[in-house]
Amino acid sequence: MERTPHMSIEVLIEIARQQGIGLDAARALDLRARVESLLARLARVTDGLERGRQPAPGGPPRRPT
Amino acid sequence: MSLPKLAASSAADLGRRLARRELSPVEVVADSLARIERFDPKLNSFLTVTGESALADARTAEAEIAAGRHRGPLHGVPLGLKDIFDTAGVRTTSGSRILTANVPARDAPVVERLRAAGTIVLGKLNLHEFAYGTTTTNPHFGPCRNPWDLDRVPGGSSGGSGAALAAGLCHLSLGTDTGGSIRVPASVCGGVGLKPTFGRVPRGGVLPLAWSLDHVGPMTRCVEDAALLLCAVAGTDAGDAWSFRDGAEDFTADLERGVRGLTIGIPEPLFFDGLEPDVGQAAAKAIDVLERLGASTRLVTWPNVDRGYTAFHAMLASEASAFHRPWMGARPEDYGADVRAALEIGYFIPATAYLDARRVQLLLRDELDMIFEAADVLVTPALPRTAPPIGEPISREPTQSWTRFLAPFNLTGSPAISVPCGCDRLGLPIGLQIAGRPFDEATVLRVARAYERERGWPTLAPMARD
Repeated sequence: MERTPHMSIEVLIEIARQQGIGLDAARALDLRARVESLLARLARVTDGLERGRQPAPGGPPRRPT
Repeated sequence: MSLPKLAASSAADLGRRLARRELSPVEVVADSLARIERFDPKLNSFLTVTGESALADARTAEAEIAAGRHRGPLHGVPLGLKDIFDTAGVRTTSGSRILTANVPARDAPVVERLRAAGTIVLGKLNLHEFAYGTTTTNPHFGPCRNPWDLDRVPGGSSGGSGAALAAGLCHLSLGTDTGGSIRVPASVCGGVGLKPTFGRVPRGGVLPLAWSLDHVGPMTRCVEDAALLLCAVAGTDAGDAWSFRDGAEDFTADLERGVRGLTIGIPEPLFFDGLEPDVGQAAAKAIDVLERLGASTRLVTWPNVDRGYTAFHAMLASEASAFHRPWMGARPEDYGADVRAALEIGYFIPATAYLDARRVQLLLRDELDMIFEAADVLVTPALPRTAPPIGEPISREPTQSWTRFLAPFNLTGSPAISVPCGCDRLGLPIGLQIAGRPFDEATVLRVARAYERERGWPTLAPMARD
């Protein structure tokens, strides 16, 4: 099975910096595994969503009639 | 000297006795303050006690009731607020170091409503830092402890509310629930916690965690109290753009109608997987009780609910990190380790992934709408387990998270309650979750009340019963 390459630590630190968040290499290393895990899971659960499926709108759910 | 029978009384009963002038609000508030002084050094449920103003408010309530100016069923009843609701002139920390010195100029709209209903604020309750966690093991103010076992967590994030109610330190509390933060502490502390429909209770003056998932709701010791408290705080407010634009309702009207004729859905997959054996048995017995009371039950399939927790996690992380960005940039060292780590993830979730999570959210809403064409409510265990020891790591992984049965209803915005349904072999409370159609809190409360009336519950934790 092909292994997905890791995100680069330098890129993580730069993305954080652009958002005003300080991140050192040690924290970025720890964070990388958690970010990759969440994004991989999210990719799995959104895989196969029908093309016409829209995002939920903001606000309360529909009141049944 | 504390009066145990008074402490164990429901808010509704207390309100009736106060209205008949059999009790004075001053006597009731003094009793709560005495219990806080006696028990809270062990529990750490209160971050701020506003004893002087509570007694002054009690004297005012006493005079109003005596003069025939009765404000309603909760007039004179003492309550504790999770320390995330703005209170005018009273420190509001959100359980954080960052807001240690924050003193709001005005009350949150829901607090204004509670004061208008005549409730008396005793103080502000401990919580998981910024409501971002489920243990209330707070690094800045110390861990809050579960009155049923002081070495265990009271759940969270509204853990101080759950603990204070179970110890009889207050009769009512108001919590917030983004992924279970009302229902977790209700479940593990043996209380009642209602997450109303998204938008039912306005969130102005409440520090956000995730705008599209945050709910405000009652935490109490019985179902009638939850209905009364919801009546007091529900209704639209201009300060919350997503509050529901409709009039108030009487959530107590159907409480005693029983469950005969209702259909209870038992959802699969997910909700009965990986349970502690005692939890599974307690939930099965509770469903038997509801059947015996005249409800019919049926298995229902929620096809994609197992996608929900990950979508929930992505939305929560993205929105929380957006809100906290200024503080995370300026003073990250002032966050506790777990909250800082959770917040850091959100800065790396692409907008495309966030939108995909919201597509899953709508999918789950649509599927649940279909399910509710065949069932009036869903019944599940609230949590797969009872209270963990303080310090035990809590997983946020979707198949391991102890909030995995709760968070789907934050995504859908449906009302959901946790009510006590027994104890495990260690004597720790177990919660039963009942979820309903959007804006049908009345049926959720009705089923919860029917079960509660049949099952009974001791209301206070053993340490607080003497």
